[in-house]
Amino acid sequence: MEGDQLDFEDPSSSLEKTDSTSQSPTMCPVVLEVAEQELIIEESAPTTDSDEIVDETCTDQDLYSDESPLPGGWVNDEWTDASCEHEDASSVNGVVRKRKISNSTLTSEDFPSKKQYYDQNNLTHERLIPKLVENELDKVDKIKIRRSCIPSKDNPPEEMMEWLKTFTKWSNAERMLAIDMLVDECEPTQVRHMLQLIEPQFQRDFISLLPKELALYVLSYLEPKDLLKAAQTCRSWMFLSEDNLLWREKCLNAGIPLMEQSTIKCSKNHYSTSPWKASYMRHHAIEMNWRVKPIRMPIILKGHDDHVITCLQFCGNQVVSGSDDNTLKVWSVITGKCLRTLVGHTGGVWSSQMADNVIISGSTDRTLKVWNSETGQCTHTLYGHTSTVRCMHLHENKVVSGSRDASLRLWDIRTGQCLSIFLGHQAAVRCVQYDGRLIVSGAYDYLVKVWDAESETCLHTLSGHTNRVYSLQFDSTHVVSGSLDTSIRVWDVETGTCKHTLMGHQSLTSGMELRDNILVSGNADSTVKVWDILTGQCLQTLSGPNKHNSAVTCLQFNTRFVITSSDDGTVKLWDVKTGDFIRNLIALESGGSGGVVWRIRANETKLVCAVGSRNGTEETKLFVLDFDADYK
Amino acid sequence: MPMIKLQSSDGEVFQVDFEIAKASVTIKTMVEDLGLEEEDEEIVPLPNVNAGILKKVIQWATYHKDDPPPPEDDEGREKRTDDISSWDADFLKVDQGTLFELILAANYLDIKGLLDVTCKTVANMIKGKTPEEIRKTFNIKNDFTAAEEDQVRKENEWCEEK
Repeated sequence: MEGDQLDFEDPSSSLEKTDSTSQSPTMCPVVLEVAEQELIIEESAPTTDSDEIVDETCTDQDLYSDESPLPGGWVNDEWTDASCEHEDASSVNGVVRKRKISNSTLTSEDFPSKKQYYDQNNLTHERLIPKLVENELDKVDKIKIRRSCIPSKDNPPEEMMEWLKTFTKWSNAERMLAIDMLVDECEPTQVRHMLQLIEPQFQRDFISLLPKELALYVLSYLEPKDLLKAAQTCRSWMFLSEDNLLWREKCLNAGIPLMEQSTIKCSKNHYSTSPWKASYMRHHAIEMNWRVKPIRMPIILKGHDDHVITCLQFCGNQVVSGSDDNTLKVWSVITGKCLRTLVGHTGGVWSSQMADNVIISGSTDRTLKVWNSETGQCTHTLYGHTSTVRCMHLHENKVVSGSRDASLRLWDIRTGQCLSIFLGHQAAVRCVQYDGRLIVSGAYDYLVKVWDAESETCLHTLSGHTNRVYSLQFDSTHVVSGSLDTSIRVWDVETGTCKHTLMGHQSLTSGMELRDNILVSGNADSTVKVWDILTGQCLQTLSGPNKHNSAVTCLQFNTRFVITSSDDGTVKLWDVKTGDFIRNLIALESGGSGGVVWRIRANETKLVCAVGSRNGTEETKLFVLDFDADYK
Repeated sequence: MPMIKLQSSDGEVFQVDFEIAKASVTIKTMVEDLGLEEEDEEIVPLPNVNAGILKKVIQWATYHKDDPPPPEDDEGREKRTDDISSWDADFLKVDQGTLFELILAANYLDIKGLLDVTCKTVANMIKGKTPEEIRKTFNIKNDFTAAEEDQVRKENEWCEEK
């Protein structure tokens, strides 16, 4: 090392050695050259420990190549070749003469990277000047010395300028030939260096360089996850990848609504300003919570002792459970507390409806009751049915009830008045649907009837089922009925004709949901099927090795998932498009030995399940699972 | 068949079948506005397109002359990039500089089909890559500070299913 310092000190006429030596005594071996009173310092690799130094210099290169202070990039990328190159260097011309100093005691620790060297010497790139030596362009080391008189790209050796001047005088054909010959002369490492210089010339930063609307058009072809990667490349890409309209389009394609601004929780340093992006990200996070993330501990709502929960409603932050213990309970899904117990029925509650702050219940005591969910008060008791009220459907201020007495009644829930009675079924009415104009009822007489609520007449009697009708869906165009005869029938409500008979289930269809002409049916045969009711085709059967082991009790679906519950004590999540099983959301330990899931209700972020048993193995309770997510 | 003369920014004149040139709404409108007739010797100047690129554009329009007009409104439709025909894919095996010029030309000449396929090609160059791979592909300098990069990475985390 002393030798190095001596070399620095020797030509003290012009070198400011403090920067280059005193703070960096372990500086690598240095070659000094004197050329026409100008000092050139060159770093060269030591002759030993070359393996270790390769590592060191590679790191250095990685750091350095991004920081080239000159566009030409006079970067030495072949440190390992340096020693042999230097041996040729002295013969380049008569003016530049090099002397190599090797130091066999050097280790890689003694050999700081260029970056470290800059840092230690507090040098900036602007003040660092590379120099040119060796045979032509390729074998050049980048040197930094605080001097303005050192040859650089602005001040290269004279003969190199002449060489370039000659080149520029040539015709295109001559230049092409010269380049061919130059490439022929080059070592592979030098050709690679050329390639590195040339390649970026043919690259274009499309997103930063195109007019904004065109850049956004390119980005519009990316999927959200690629947009997120694009946002991380640099500032201009981030800016465009955050475009609100871009994310609006992504949300519309995925059917994601703009969420309320109040639900977007932004940290202080948040870069993203697009509400649509925030909506998309939150939505995706919620979907992942349903699909893959660990399921959080559920809130457990205990009540109804060892009785059965027969019906379940979930609206806003409130859940209402109806039980054969003659009561209903109103719960908060936020606190998990039972807010109110609705007491008054003298028989088991078997049906309920809920809207805003009104709850309606139907009981084996032959009455319906209208409750204020805020106060827990019973505002009306609706008398008239002569047997159990088994089903009901609420539309605005009117509710239709179906009874074991084979009749249907239409009630005004504000006044408690019975508006009309619909007679015609020969057996118990098991299910009913009402859209404000038409009433559709399914009964144990195997028939489905369509009634006009206004004129109180039966418009159609839909016959075809060969056993009791248990479930109904009605979207004002199609009636879908599920029966103990194992079939599901699709009817045209205007003409009363049967459009399709959906075959495939083995047993009673107990629950169905219909939306946008997609029907999902849950069956006592332990499978669930997804149908297109326009074509009558079965799109998916949710079965396979992870299928339910017992009758399906309840189901709900949206554009992504089907959630199903069963007598086997599980709640399962399925992919509605592929029919694939995703995972169990609930699996009672008592499943198979008595524990069952009776009812489920879900919204976008929460799932409520009513569970229990008939043999005491599982206490009656509600589970509330939360899948919500904040967009960070 | 009526022909039309198109002049590139660097002065080269191309004689093109008008039916083919009509792929460009810009040219079509210009011709209609100018009321050019078949016998007219008038030359349509295209000051934003050089000869090399114009030649490529004409090549593309010639191959696609019998295509049905592309659908107008893309709103609400899932945008695909896996539907590039093999001819187009071959045609667009060009350096990034040329692809860049083609996008600008397709936009200026208002040729939706060409604009779509060129933009899709760029999108495909981005898809499935890490930020660092994207930087390498397009020679982009990472101008985030370490702290910013960390923050941006956190904000743009994408939970994968598997």
